[in-house]
Amino acid sequence: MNLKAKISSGQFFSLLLLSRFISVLTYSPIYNAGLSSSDYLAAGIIGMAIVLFSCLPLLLIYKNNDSRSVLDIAYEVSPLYSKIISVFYMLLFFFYAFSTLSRLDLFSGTVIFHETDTKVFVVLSVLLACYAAYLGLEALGRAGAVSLLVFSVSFIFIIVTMLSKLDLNNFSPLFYDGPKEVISAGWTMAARTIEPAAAAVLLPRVSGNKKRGFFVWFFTLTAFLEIVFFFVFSGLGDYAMTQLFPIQSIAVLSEFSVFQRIDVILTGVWILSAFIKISFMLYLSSYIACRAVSVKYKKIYIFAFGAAAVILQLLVSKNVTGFFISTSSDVRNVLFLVVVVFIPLLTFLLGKFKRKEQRKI
Amino acid sequence: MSKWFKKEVKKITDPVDFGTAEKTPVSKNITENIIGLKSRFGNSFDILYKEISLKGNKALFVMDDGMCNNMQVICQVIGPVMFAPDMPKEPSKQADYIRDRVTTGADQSQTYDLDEAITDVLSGLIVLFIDGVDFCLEFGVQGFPKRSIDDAQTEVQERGSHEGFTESFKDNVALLRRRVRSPIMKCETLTVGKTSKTRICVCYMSDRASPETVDNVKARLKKAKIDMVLGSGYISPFLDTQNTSFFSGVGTTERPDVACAEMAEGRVVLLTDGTPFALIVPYLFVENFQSMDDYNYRPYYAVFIRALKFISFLISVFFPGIYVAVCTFHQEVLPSSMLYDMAVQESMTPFPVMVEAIFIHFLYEVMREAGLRMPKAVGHAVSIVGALVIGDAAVTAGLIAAPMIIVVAMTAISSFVVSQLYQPVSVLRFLFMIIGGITGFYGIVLGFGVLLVNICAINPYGVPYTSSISPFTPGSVRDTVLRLGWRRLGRRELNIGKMKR
Amino acid sequence: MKKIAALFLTVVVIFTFSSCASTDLELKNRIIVEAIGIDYCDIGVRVTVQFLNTDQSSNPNNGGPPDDIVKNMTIDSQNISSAIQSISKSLGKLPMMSQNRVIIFGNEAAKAGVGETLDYFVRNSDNRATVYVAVAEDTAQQVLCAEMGQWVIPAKELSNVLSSSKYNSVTAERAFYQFVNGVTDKTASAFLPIIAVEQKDKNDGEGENSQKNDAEPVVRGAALFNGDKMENVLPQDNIPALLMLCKDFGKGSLTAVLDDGTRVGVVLTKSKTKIKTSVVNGRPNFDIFVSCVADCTETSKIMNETFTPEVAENIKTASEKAVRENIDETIKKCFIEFNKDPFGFDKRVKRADAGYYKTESGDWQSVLQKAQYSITVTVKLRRAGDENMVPHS
Repeated sequence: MNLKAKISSGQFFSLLLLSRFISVLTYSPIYNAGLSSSDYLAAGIIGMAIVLFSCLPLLLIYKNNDSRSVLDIAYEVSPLYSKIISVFYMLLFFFYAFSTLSRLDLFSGTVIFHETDTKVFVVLSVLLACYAAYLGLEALGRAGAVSLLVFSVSFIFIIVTMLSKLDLNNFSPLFYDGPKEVISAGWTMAARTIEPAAAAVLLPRVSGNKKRGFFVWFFTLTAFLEIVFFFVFSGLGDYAMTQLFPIQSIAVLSEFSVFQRIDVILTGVWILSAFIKISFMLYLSSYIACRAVSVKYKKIYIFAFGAAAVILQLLVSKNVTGFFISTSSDVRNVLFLVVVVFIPLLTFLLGKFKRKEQRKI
Repeated sequence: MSKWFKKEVKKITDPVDFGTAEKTPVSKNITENIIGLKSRFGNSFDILYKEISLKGNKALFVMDDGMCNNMQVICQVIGPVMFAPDMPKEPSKQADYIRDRVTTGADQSQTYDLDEAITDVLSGLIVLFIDGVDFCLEFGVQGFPKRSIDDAQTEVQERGSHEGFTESFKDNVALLRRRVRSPIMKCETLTVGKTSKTRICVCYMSDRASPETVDNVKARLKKAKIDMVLGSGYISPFLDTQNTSFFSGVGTTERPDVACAEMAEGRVVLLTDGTPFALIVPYLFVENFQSMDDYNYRPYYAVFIRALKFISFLISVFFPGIYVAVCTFHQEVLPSSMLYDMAVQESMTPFPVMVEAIFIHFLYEVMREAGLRMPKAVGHAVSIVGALVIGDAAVTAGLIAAPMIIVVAMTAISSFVVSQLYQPVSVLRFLFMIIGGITGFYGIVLGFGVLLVNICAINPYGVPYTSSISPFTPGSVRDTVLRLGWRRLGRRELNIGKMKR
Repeated sequence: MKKIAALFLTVVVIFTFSSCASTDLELKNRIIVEAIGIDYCDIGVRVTVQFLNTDQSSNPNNGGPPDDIVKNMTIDSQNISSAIQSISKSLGKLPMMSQNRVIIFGNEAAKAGVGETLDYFVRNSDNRATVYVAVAEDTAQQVLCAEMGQWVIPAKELSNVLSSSKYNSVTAERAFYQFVNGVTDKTASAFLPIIAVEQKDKNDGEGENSQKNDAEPVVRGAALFNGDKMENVLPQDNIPALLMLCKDFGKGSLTAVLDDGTRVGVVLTKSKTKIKTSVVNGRPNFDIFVSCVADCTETSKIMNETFTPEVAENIKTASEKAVRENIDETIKKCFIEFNKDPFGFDKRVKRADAGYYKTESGDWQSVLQKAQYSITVTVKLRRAGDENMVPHS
């Protein structure tokens, strides 16, 4: 595990895209019950606007100097402060590794293996994700780029095969129940976007045009979100609200010649993307642990985080009621506000203050 | 207990220590040299000793009968030496006179080391010891039996040249020289193998190959602790930077045109004496889907063939596993029209689909291996047995379902489209069948993910194994995923050094 | 250390996955459900399940007696899932729902309300959302257990008939998710095709070779629902108009009568419907524009009589009149007579005037009574067949 190896901007933002795509694919109407169909489109735009706004602290940090991450600047402010924020970052990435694993378990138990116990698949997924994380950021970045290509091709195929099933009549008027719910839904979508935190930690290890990469990531994600909601609601209508995984349901509608259950392609990319995301999150957690604690045990951190995710999943999120812990909006909102927005902003301000003081001296 | 267990495992897996050999210098006393030679060669009948006298001074020719060209020995070496006019009296001046004025061959050298002299005798050189001189003269008169240049057996091309490498590495170098008549192509030799002392020729183009890569290759070969090198495969693991993957960063080729093309892209080609397979480092994943014929075809057809190869690779690895997974766990994928027939077929067989698949593929591998090794005279028997047993009897007896035969047939044919990857494909196929049978499509996708990450983690000599796809290099796409026409392709060279991390 | 870890992992994997190599889920150990019929009975639901017969005895290669390609089983139970699971008691195999082609509700069950039975199909991820749904003219059991021939899969025949709206315009084709959307919509009305089986006595030979009771599935109109309860039946003649207004019209035929009494057979293809919705003086107003492409397939005139452009124009006008009258009749029947909106006009009103919809959605039936509409039909006569046409002088 090389802690200094760099990856290209394309590979890095491919990882971030894939990470957010899997969150979109696993989106469930339980997060925003009562929102009508076309309001999801508006909520998507609002959510992405919030995400863009939340990335401002990151922009400020990297505008001046892009060779230091948030953790580097924090270390210059104070080693203790750096350790404290490292804990927050570790928590964030570990929570999302656990959450993704939890969703994957629910998905496989509901859609793929409703007759079989899925504990084995949970353990297997984490073991393999630990191995992938162990191979390092370069391997993950390259695999992420290839996986994104596979994802895109599959997604476009599914979209094209279900074009004939669209019915624009299924859309309700915009803001039918007022804007409050829409803004709340937008906030929920934004709070699930923790990729700026990954950028805050890893951007110094990214070579190439990062600004262009960021904007491509942002606009691709926005477009993906809108396309997904458009197809889900125009294809399924209100039926989408009854489904735990509406995007999976919309893929069921796709047909191509004699082949009818094209959702199996979506299942495949889902599992692949989740695997890449879990590996990436485990890698990030262990990377921060290496920097904050000690590089000596770098091999152990990955497996420790992996084991913790498995234990948490098997003990806490093993059934339907326990699953809601991993989807808790409160936890996500707090983590988003603190780790994605507040910490980079505070670090930037403290860093600037420290440099001013040093110049005076 | 665990200490004992660790010790036993270490015994099996640790590399063998060959120790360092002591060097024996050539003695000024010819008798000592004769004793040294005879003690090493013993009673080997093919080692010939000819003692002559040079103006009263003793001299000895040593040669290996089967390895030398006798006419050259007589006409270029022994004859001129024995009948040389004006031979000086001093031994050292005799050596200089013979080397500069007497012998007519261009391949001449000298050595102060007796072991080196012995190695050179066994390589087909004739060695001259002169009493009173502490070195020996060596003359290249190789004439050992060798195969003539023939078609490359493992890399058949439709429109490319029909010359392949042979076991003689001098001939192989000549084949390369014929194609690249430029002094920038360097060919340097090394010796690897404690006992076999096999010569390896390291070929590269000095203006394209990275000096670090060349030095790295040479250093790895020098550090290689191996007793006998009887084929290029023996040294391949020493050149591979990552041995924990199914795929290797070291490629092979039997064709000189391919070797030249690889050198032109900045790679290092290694020719091993005694084997017609050259090694190429660093080797990328996409190169498994390229062939020389691609450059002789029209671009659109070349792209089509490359896509076909890639799809064939995916079919050969994943298709049996996916079939097992679908039949075991995910029957909803099957169209209704197919499902009934498959259900009836599967209901007639006693074994689970995974067992059927593994059994039939194993049988196929046995037959393939038998067909490869058996004498040609009885080759027909294998095809008849295979066709009857697998094709007909197994299905009629109800052991195997008919769809499984189609699966194995498709898989087998697809695996031969990309023959360079046959080794990893045949093993991965079994792995994915087991994964598909136990964990279904979920496991297959996870397995694909792990395989992908594993491949992406390979960096042979600092170059990402999945280069031009990931990391994506737009310039190199014109000759990897696509194959642009020569008008565009010829404008800029593709250099592996530019893909380094 | 690495080697010990590898050995440990191998042992763990062997023990962990040994239980996964189960053959229960394999194709040969599954009951492939082809169709489900739901009727109500005293204890709850009467579920008729049609499944493929994949037993070895049905394989003619084995020389055994030929058997039916499908089998039916009727189970009475408190709910659908327990009824389907109880199939495995008799057959010893797990049912597989993913190949289910049709869901048929019995007529009485549809009238009593099907809402309670929908949850099973929504919740079961195996069940396809695109499966065809229909209401039986009598009981679902009768439809599924009808004998349609020895080597015929009735569910396949049923699904072919239920998906035939792209070839004819008399089948009100509905997928499961579309039906659920209709049921859950407070103001719209769901509809389903009504399917029946016509028995045909056939005596081809004597003794064992004669085929008796060869049944054929037929569609007879559409059932209109109020919520989840079937209340009305829309006749078959009105189905083309229903499909046009729902923008589901594929291909259909009509007979246009010219002024001189000539009957002309016309096949309509490529129907496009545009509906402009507005709310005027507290009443919803629908301007319906239908454009079709028609092919003239036959006329009742004797052959070789001239087919002039004037005749073509007459056919066009007559076709337009026929379509317009059909649509008008259908809307009147649904809005006025049945008080139902199966066309989805409620969504159009919702988009046109959300405030009006919010206010009036509580009493949508009275809105339908006062709705105004205009129908404009344009028919383009594309072809008149292979017969000679007199060129325009």
